[in-house]
Amino acid sequence: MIPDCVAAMGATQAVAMDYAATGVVASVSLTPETILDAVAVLDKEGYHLEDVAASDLKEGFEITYHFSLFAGKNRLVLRLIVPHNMPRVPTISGIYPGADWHERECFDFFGIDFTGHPNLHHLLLSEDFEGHPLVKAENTRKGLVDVMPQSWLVAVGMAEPEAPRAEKPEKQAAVPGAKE
Amino acid sequence: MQAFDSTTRRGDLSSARFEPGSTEDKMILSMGPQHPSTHGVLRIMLELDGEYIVRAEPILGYVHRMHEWMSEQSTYMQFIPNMGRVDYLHAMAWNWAYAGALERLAGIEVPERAEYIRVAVTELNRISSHLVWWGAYLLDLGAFTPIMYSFDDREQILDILQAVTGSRLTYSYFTIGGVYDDVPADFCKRSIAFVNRLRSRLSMYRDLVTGNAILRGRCEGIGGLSVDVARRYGATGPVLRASGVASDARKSESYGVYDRFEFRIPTYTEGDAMARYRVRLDELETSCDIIEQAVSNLPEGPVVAKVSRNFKPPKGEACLAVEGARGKIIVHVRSDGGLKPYRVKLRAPGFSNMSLFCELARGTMLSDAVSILGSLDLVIPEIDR
Repeated sequence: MIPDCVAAMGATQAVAMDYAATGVVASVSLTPETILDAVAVLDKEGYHLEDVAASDLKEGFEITYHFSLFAGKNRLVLRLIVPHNMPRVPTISGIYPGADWHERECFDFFGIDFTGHPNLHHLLLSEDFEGHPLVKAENTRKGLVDVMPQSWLVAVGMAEPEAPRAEKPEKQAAVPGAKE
Repeated sequence: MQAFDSTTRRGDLSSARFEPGSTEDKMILSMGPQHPSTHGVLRIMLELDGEYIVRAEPILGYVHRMHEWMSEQSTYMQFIPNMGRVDYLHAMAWNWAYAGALERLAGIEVPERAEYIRVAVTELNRISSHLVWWGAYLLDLGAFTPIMYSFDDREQILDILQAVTGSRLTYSYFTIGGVYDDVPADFCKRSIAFVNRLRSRLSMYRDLVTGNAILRGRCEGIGGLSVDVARRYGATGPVLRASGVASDARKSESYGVYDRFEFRIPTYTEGDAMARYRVRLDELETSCDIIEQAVSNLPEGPVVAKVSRNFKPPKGEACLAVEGARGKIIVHVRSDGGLKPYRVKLRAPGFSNMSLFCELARGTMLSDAVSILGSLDLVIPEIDR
């Protein structure tokens, strides 16, 4: 179920997810331009920040922000994709100071530039470490279609709905009626 | 980023980057990474004005092992032992978060008996974790004896869990679809005996330690944390509950069979180090209650679902939030349908709780910073991962 506040976020896509199968209730796709407004909406609603993570895909680096309320099953994931050649997104540490370290970790592992970050330096890797260990080789990167749940792909129009299995019983039931 | 020039800079890059502040009598102090109160290898850069802390910046990464990278190099099953080594004090909770996330992703039903065993061993492990914290925290504050008592109790748990898992600290007992092996025949009897023993000891601990005037002086009103700051930093676990928020993943996002257990979530509203201390002591009793219910209702049956050794979950992503001894542990798994995870993200509660330290330590005395650090219950390998 998508919470009401998502409507005010300016999301490109908001998809309700099955909590029992994924652990989140909704996935909200954003852009680097809309992330700050979206996070400000969540701040007003009383969400707390769980983590900021990234993942290397064919389309670019996918950055995911997980938010949750203190009570109940209501984990939201905000996701946006930044290109490999210019991975840049504004920092949300001005709203959620807890994001500071999470973003530094993403910088460490993926080389993502969080613009406006007060202290974007190595956090976990040593100061003289070069490179970003979780960046994948070009030929091992997978696209969104390979790693996202089918239900999400269908909802955003990246895959055809698997109609036959769900609808077959209905069609069979309809057949006797048509004969009459 | 500036390159490190050893000819012109003093110290390493971390100390060079920690620029002097504006106060007149400032002093820059590098505390750790071998300082006894940091329990592991944590280093904190401090700017001091006399004995007062103007600014604090923890330097992490001294025990960074890159578990997330390792996950992409190993199969799903091969990665399970890593989960015992993220937080060595509450390894069972990490076991559960990883196995549970995969079970969610693949839609695997865990047998009843395994669910109850999971609850019992995780709560035993939580008690052992809190006992280590209790002893070590008091040791930080100058009380030497309590750690002898708490390690005596903890030893009993390690013996019970050794009989179950074969290890004493870094358990990899959970597997995808259940637990590796059934518990020994005397597991229930020993657990009940331990619970009874701990309960009788707890009242002694309260009488001897909790009311102690020196302890109260070191804890009360120190490191006050408001709910709003806790929320913005993502603080969870006892740190959050000591600020009056009854948030516990065992209840709010009930996983496994926790919804069948009756237990209360201890909360205190003061938000100071003493409140965090009290929450953890009360949680020892909560865990005792849960263990009692788990072992007295332990159903018969298999302890693991049929899962192929070449386990391949369908493509997609899933996460599971587990209430660890230090707060909300979340493991995010992303699968491309292959033999190895595409991406595993480990959300460590200590990471977020530690980031609070700069906020809490500002303006306090150096000796109080040690008390605040201890009251956050940090396990550095979990923060560094």
